Amino acid sequence: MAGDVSGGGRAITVDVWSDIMCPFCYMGDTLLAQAIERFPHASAVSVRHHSYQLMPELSRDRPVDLIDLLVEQRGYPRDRVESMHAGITERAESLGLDYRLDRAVTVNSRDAHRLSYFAATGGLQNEMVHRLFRAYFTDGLNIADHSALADMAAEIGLDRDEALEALKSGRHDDDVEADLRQARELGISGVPFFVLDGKYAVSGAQDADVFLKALDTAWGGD
Amino acid sequence: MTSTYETEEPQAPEAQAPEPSEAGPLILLNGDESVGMCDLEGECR
Repeated sequence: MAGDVSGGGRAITVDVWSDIMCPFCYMGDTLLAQAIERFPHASAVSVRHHSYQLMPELSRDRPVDLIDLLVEQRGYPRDRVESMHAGITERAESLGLDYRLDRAVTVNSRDAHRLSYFAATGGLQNEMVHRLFRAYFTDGLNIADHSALADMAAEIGLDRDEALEALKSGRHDDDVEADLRQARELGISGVPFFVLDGKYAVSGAQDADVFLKALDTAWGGD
Repeated sequence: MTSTYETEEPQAPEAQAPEPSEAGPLILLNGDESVGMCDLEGECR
């Protein structure tokens, strides 16, 4: 965790529960980052990513089209889904994010979460999570495909072979399970969900001003 | 915030802190407004 001399060695930890396939999670992470940049004690803030699965029932091996899933399995009218996606894409664009929901490959995200933990061991969890978000929302990559995941790990500076071995061996599945259990204990029923210093919470992809105020509160709240 | 799926009223979480032995209930700083979230039903709002 980073320290901050100006704050007398104080620090803030932000624990973030999110799913790689959650459109608001990528936005929320971006908005939190914007707030941290504006926070006077930015160097004292550390972010930890935790796993959450919105659709744990999905297969790792049989990708589905997101729009078809929402229409055929969730029962939403196609025009409404397309309108919703247009709105999400527009908001993402306002944050500088390029969403291509029409090419999203929807699969089980558990292995992507395990890769996030693998990256954490190398101090690159934040970079990994952002790469995974971009893979799903922009690149149309399959985030359950081990080869593709290993490629992404290599892109951010991790050892590809080690990442692949971790994925194939099931490593960090216990970490993912612990996150899911803790989310249940916390009463989290939707993501993104942010916990500051284990005391304050922000739910949803709120405006950066909300996150900045939360950081101020956490800084002065002890 | 762009409205997405229509859902029931958002719920205000009454959650426990990550380390219950060290902290009390979480204090939700954005009131009970839970826009910009996706839930287990696969709904995003």
